[in-house]
Amino acid sequence: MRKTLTTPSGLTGAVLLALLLFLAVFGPLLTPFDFNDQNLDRQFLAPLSRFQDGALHLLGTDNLGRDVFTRLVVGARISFLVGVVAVGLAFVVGVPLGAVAGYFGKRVDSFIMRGMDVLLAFPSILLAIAVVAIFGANLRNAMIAVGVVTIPVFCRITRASVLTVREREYVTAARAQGASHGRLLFLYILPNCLEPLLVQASLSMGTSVLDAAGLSFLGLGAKPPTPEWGTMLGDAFLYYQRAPWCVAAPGAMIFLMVLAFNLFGDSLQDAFDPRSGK
Amino acid sequence: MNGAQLLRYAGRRLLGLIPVLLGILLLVFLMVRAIPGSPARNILGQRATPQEIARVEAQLGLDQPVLIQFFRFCSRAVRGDLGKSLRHNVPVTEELKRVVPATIELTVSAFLIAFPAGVLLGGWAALRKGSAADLLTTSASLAGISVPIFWLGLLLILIFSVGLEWLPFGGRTDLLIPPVTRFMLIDSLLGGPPGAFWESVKHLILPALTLSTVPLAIIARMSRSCALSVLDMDFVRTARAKGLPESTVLWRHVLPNAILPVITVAGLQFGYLLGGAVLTEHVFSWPGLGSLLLRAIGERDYPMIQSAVLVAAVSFSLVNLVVDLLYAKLDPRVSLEENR
Repeated sequence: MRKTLTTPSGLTGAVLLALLLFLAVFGPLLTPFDFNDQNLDRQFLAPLSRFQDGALHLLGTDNLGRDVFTRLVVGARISFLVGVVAVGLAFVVGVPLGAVAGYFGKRVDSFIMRGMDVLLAFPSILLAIAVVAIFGANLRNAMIAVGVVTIPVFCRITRASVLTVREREYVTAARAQGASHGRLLFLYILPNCLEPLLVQASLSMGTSVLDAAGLSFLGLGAKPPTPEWGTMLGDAFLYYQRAPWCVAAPGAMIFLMVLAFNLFGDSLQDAFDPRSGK
Repeated sequence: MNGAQLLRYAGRRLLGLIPVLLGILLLVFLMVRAIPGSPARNILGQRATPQEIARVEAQLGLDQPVLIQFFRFCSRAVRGDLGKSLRHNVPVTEELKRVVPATIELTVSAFLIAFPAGVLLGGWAALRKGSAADLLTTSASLAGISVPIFWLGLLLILIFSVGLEWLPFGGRTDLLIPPVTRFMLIDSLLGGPPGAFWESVKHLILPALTLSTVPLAIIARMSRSCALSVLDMDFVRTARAKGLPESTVLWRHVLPNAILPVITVAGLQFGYLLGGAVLTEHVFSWPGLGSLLLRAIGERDYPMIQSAVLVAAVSFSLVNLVVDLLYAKLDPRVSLEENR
């Protein structure tokens, strides 16, 4: 981890993530507005403008007179939540499946991996759209959908790592001592497969935030007035010529968060596997 | 590799594709069965009469045992019969024939931008490793991977359509062009008024650029990393030591060896393009498969949703097969290893 923070890209990613996390946690304390305060007199105020009462709207207001900055900082909480839930789901389901496939091999492996091949045959956002279309368009289902499409990635990585680690001598020694399959897999093998999974978790946080924002932009995720960044962008799509800042701000936040996770994930990868360094 | 070997390899790959295609069919089939509550009531609303519900259930085939439903679904799908739209009462395949060319035109255009530009950019950065140009390229490609394309599309519209008024921002054309192939670029040449082709190109530029961003960035990253590893190899040093001109070293020795993994990654990008097309089509009012899917979701037209997802997944699998074959053709080691 220390090595990650010594590279410029890793440090940039970590600083960006820390800033976004700070905004998500303390952001609402920095603004006098509520994220859902509507006031049509304040409609479409440009960034840095002050209303008659002297209140400063740092990033302007939207079509309902709501403060864009306040909505963005509350949206940061939602985006972190989306990333954690989606990646958590993919991790919790994908890792054991991949571990079992890699450890037991043969028919179990074929069965699980053919299932993953089927999931991978669908373009991920399309599969997520299909899941949401069936179970209903809301933020919870969008998080689940994004998690489901991420499962095969974790499953494949875990399987590949388990295939290598299970042949190591210390595993053979533990097996010779009579360790059960469960003990071997979860105590001896999986802990040594964590490095690539951590890298993938960081990269998948970015793609999950992106996919969930895409679903919300299409009206298939969080619903207004929830200040999810994709939903805000979807709303602003209706009046983008009138208030371009309502388009620019939430999109820039999605971009920064995804960039931060990608920078961090990339550096983590380089730190764990210097040969992958470019 | 000779023709017979390639044919054997293609046969093996095709056989391997069958369980995946069956899995795709099963998953798409289960979509409607997974709808919470009664799908028919979901479609018709709470005030539907039992007769109406029975009619829709019969139309969806839900009144049969599940196994029979699945076999019927598969046999119809294989024959190209994907049922009728619940809302528009037209065969789904007719609707697909109308919109799929628009999506193909968009995705192929995006790919034609992304692949050559990505390879050139990645190769160029690799040759200047550690320089400012390399840093700029790697930073730009990381930014390209992270950018939400629906946001980028809106920004491009704001700049090039609203601000500069250089390019149109919606639809495939403003002119009346008789549909012959339904590929607008071709139809505009075949029967459109003068200037129709350029008009169609202008409508295509912004959506294609938007959709190409992420694949371009990924291909550039991959090309750079592959080129760097090949540039370090002994045969490149030998070629240079022999006094070959740098352009010969790059085009004859480095490119053929570095391009193989890039082709695989580029093939995988087709899946991204199909998914990204939904978002791009929404932003640019592009009447393709993605727009059809979104409309079908809004109308709870389940046969249409199933068909759009099925077409995308099957096309993605077939493109991957083609990429595998291309790879085997270009790199004989692939199939030799499998023949052992």
